[in-house]
Amino acid sequence: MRSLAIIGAAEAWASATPGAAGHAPSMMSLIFPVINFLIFMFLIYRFALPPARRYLVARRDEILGAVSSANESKNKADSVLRSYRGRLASADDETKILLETLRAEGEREKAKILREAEELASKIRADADFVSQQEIKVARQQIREEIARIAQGAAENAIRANLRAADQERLVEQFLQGIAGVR
Amino acid sequence: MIEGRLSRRYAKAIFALAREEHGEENFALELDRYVEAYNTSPLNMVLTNPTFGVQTRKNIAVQIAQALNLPTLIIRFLSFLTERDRLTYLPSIALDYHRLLDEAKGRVKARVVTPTPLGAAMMENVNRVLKGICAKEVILKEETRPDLIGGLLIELEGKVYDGSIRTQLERMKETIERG
Repeated sequence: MRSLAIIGAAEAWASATPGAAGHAPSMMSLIFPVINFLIFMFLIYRFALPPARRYLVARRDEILGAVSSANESKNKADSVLRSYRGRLASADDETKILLETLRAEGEREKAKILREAEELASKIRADADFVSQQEIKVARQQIREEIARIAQGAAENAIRANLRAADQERLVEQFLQGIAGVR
Repeated sequence: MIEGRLSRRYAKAIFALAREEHGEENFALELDRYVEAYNTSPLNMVLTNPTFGVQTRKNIAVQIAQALNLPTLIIRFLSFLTERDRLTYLPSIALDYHRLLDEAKGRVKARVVTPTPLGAAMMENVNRVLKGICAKEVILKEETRPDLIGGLLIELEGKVYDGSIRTQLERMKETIERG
């Protein structure tokens, strides 16, 4: 209505202007465009506006969905990031535990190797002692045998050189007395 | 083992036969002659060779016995052994025969080993002592072994009486070796 008032006022001013007689537009020429315009607006409102509204609503939903999806992605990324940060933090602890375990294992292995080496050394010492004792025994026995052999030979030579017939007779007599006495 | 048993059995049988004829001592001497001939000549190889027939071997054994003028009992015995293929047992049969003869006569054999021969008086002494030990007549067989050095060794009825210097030196050596 305000528009119609403005349009009427504008037409009245234009018809009052000197020299404008015969050129002032008639009311009808103003009304029809307005009516056309109104029809156009009605058509726009009736047919074009709903699809445009639906499109805009859909677009808004689409954008909202995209934003929501982006938020979810961002949350997931944050979660993964937190997870990796946690893992990195725990990786240091695991490394420490692993190092401690390896160190302890190494100490145990070292102690075991030392213990085995000591046992082996002890056994080798015992074996060496045994072998040396045996060699000493064998050497002593060989010396005794050699002494016995020399003594036997010397005694035999001395007896052969000094044994007379009378000695032989005495030996026989003594032996016969001995076996007769045993009987 | 089997040979020992068979030898003892044959010796016992022939000894009984010889005693019946009262010729056991003579039989022993004649048997020794044949055994000596059997052991010291190739005769044993011929008489125990299976390539010759039993009859051939028997004839050879008998002929040799006759040539040695052996008594009939020995000839029959040798003939019997050849037939039974037991002639290889003859030396051990002779040993068993002597053992039976010595037992029957109450005597025993002893071996006396010395480095130098003992005199007759010393042998008599040995005989007297051994007779005292076994309470039997002792027949000494003397043997000389210079490696005994001195003293003597006597084997009597399966026992050895060793009084040799060699053995005493061996004992001394063993004592020193033992430490």
